[in-house]
Amino acid sequence: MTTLSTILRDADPTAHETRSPQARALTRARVMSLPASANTQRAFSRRQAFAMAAVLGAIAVGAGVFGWRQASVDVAAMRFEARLAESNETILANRDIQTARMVTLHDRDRSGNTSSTFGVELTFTSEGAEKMRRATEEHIGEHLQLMIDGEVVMAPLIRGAISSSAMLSGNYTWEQASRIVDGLLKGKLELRNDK
Amino acid sequence: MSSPTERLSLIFDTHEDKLYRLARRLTRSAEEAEDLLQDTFVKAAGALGSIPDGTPKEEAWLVRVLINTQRDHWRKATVRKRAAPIAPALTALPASTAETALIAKRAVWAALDTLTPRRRAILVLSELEGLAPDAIASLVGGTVVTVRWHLSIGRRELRCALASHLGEKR
Repeated sequence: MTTLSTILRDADPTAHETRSPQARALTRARVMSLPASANTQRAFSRRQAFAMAAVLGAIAVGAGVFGWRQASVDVAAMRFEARLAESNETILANRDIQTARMVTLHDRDRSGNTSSTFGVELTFTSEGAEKMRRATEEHIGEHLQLMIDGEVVMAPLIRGAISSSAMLSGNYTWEQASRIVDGLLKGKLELRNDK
Repeated sequence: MSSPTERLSLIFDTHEDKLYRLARRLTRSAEEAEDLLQDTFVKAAGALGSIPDGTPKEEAWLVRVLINTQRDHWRKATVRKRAAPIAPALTALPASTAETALIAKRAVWAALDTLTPRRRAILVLSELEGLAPDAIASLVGGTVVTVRWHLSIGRRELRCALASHLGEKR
């Protein structure tokens, strides 16, 4: 009965040949002639290095495109205001915003196609959150008007009481959403500088 | 504190024998094995700072580098092989062995050549060096489960390739 192990052992080259001392000495001499360096370097294979270069490249390109789009949008600080459409009552201003960021919303229609739109997620300062909660609680079903530099950029429907954070799910395009985020953050920054 | 050159010399003398044996079992000839060993120490010489202290850790580092180096060679060779198929150049085997045994060995080494270097190394360390899966895992990196998986797949691949030899010879 021949097993795989015996076949492998029979074919083992180190069992049949002895290493030539000259070859060993030559290898040692070559290695010892190298400039030894105490550098730290991870033992990356060439393939891994390529993969990393590719990933870094993609990130750089992405960041470049993002930066460019940011720059083309991000021109000046914008005054932010949130008010109730019905009563024109102003609820929040720039100082009430804690953070603003863009979020991707995924939708699936009846035939199963998915599409992505963008929304803006806002979080409010504790003071702003309390003002917002009070105002929206009483006005569910009405529209909120978000204004940037006195212009209504969107008028989302108030679906429930909003307090510390709000998702503005208006099915915006990337440009619209990013413009809103920029406006909100810039305005907040400017306000802080004014203080 | 030893100088980088002293450390390189120490590392070479400590691990060279074992590494040569592994290199020889991953390659087709003694010359290729010497080259592979040399390439491994070239990398070690350039990065002594990243070799961890302690003999077992040093060995594991060197074994991994050796396998990765061989993998790069192997990939290039595989691409070449795809362009010009199958010419097993196994001239390094001793001519004194009986012809049937020689043919069997050629078949074994041709079959081993189809394994990825990492899998081949794991198989060789287990079958020829007699190491347990956990010892192999700490040497080549990865988990014991991964090592067992490589062993099982590697054995199956070899059995398929060597079906005729396993069945009839001896």
